[in-house]
Amino acid sequence: MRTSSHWAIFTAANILLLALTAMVNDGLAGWSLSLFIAGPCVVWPALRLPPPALLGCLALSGLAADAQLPTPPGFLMILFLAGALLIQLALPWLGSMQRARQIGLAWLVNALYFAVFTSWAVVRNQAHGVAFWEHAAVDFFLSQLIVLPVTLWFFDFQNSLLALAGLTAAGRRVGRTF
Amino acid sequence: MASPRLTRLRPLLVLALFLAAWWLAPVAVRSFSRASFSLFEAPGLIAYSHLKDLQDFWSLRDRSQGSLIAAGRDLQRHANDTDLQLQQDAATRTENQRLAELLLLPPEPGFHYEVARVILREETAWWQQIVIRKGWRNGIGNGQGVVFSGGVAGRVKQADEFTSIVELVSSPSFRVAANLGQDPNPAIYQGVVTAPFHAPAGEVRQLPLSLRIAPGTRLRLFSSKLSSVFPDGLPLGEIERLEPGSDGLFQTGVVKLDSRLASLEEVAVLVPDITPTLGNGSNPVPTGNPPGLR
Repeated sequence: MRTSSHWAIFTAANILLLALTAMVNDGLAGWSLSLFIAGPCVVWPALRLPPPALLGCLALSGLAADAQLPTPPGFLMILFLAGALLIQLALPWLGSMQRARQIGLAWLVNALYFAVFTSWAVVRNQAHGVAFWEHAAVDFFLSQLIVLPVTLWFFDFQNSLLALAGLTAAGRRVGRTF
Repeated sequence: MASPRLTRLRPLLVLALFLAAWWLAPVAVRSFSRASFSLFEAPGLIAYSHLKDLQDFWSLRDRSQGSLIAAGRDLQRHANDTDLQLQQDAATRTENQRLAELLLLPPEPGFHYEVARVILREETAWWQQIVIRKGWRNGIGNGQGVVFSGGVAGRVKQADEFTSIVELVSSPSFRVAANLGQDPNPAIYQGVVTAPFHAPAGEVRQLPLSLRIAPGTRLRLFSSKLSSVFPDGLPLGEIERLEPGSDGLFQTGVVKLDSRLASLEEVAVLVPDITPTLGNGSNPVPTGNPPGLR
């Protein structure tokens, strides 16, 4: 498996997804709404890349997103790496990762990330008003609703990129190769 | 050969080592990585912004000739009105300068406007910010005030080489000194998260207990130079209602912000002049709205 090409493709796809999300959020800003879509970025790299390539892919994707966020430097990068680690540790209990399970995993990871960002905002701003929780709840439900079709498309998109590069999407399960 | 248990913990160790290296890295390294990625993304952001401008241009081309003539007529009215205001401003500045010289007042810091297009807006429950198409190459620095045609828009959070991130006035982490215009007593303004589909809002604290709002009216809130970010007199918002403060000594007010904050297209950064001036023709002290902002 040519992991060097794989990690570059996964990184480019992640950066594209994060940029598209930012553009959609720009359009939604008029209604005080936003989407949070980060879960799908982690799943395939965690399942298909060996450790050094996984580290490079998620560190680059996370730092690229961090550059435009008011969070501490490396916040999303650390979340990405922690998410990938959780997926790898859970692999023996998850069994074979069929497509539906991969999408479910992306949905779950996205929800976890949303919870972490919300906790960070609560601690940073002492934000606990009703409007804050209302806003967070609407954003959460909207994001979790949208993330399902987006993940479906994103995995197909990554598949297409791999096919264009003449690579196979089938990789080894990294959790057993550390 | 390593035991299966150790093999399973190996990813955890790799992550722990990486995180330790990241946290132990000097702040300069982390800042450099952030600045590098921002620089790397700048061409994409700027290209996206120009594409949006092009989209606006083509949508305007579809307008009928009649609507364009009407828009031109309205624009001419605004231009005439602005000319009159500029003349009044010039007279006021001259009078201010004369009085300041008479009273031997120290010169106030001056600003000039750096107008910038908005590239991206983000209104989450966690933060409210915009990305603008100018950075430190244009003299923009961290902490500088940002205004728009409706008054205060926010403050520069992070100035990069070609782009800057602006924390909006509605963001909970935005806090500045404010006053009620005629009443010089300082109050503290802070942004507040609002529910979706609601206009941006804020909160003002430390208002005197004697303050009252007549039914059906609102009190206007202005920026104060005590903040050292904004000059006196820039509109922040309107106080809708007052509530007793938690300490019983002051009142707290709910501030309604300009609804155009959610659809900003152009803003102006208040870049301090290097040489402090009281305000002359070349470096006007901003007391009104910069021209041409939407």
